[in-house]
Amino acid sequence: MNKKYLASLVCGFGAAVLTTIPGLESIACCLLVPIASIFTIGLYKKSSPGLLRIQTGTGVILGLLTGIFAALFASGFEIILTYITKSNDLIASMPQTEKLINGMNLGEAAKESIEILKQMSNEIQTTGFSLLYSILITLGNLITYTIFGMLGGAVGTAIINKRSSN
Amino acid sequence: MQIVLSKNFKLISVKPDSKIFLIRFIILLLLASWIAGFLLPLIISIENPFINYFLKRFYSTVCHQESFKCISIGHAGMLVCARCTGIYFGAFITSISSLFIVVPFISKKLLMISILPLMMDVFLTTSGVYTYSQFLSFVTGIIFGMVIYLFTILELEKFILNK
Repeated sequence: MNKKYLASLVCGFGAAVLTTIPGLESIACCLLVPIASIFTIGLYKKSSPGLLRIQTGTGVILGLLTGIFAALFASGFEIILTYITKSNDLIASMPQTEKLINGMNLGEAAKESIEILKQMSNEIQTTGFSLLYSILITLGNLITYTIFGMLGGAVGTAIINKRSSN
Repeated sequence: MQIVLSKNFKLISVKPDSKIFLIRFIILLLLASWIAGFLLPLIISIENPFINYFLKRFYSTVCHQESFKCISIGHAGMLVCARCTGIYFGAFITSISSLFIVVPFISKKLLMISILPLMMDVFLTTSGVYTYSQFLSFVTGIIFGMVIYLFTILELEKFILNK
């Protein structure tokens, strides 16, 4: 396998695993995926001994790949956990959402959206899987993790190149 | 691109030309829209529960969103914690100023120093030395956000301008 893909796969998987640990997320916050990208660049540099300097473009691409892998694995873990437990944060927040909705005078569009939420919630509770929910969480993860992965890639390139030049 | 070298402080600075100005302006707009996203519950009341849920879910991938750690005004709270808000605000403030002033070259040492207060705050609150303070988290976040923006922007400009 290409060294770029392998380093990104390893660190992306690691970041995805760490996102499932509740306590850790409260410490690492938005820095988990960028840190994974920095590790990816470090790993890539170690696996290419002849490489003196990493181009910023390569670093950003490595970060992007790390973000993509992290998003896919994190979404996969969540879908599997939802399938096994037949519950997730959507189910947990439904009573509170319904309570909030009852206190408001909502229009037609909002009523339709409640129906969609209820339908997703029912699907998860009965079969453990909702296609719409899975698509939405994967898309959300892909957007945020790739942005933060690329930023981490740019930072990681600067850090590792500076270390090499020292 | 004009490079100014100050020997006394060993500081290399880059003044924005039109291309760099454009890049920084686009980054500023992206940052502003990201910040506007998590400030949305404070700005408008979102009555659509579907949008409300997925907006919260969207930001949950980059923040734990523990309610007591999120800055709130009245009944509405931000979608990210005080520390994350500080980081984004720090980057935002610096991104505005980088359009008009010289951007200093940030060393790796300075980057490490800037993350120290943030890490110390995390460590000391987690270990129970003092109780969590939104203000302290916000301030340490701002310091790190400012430095990380300066550290990243020069590298991103190099990448976009293919230098």
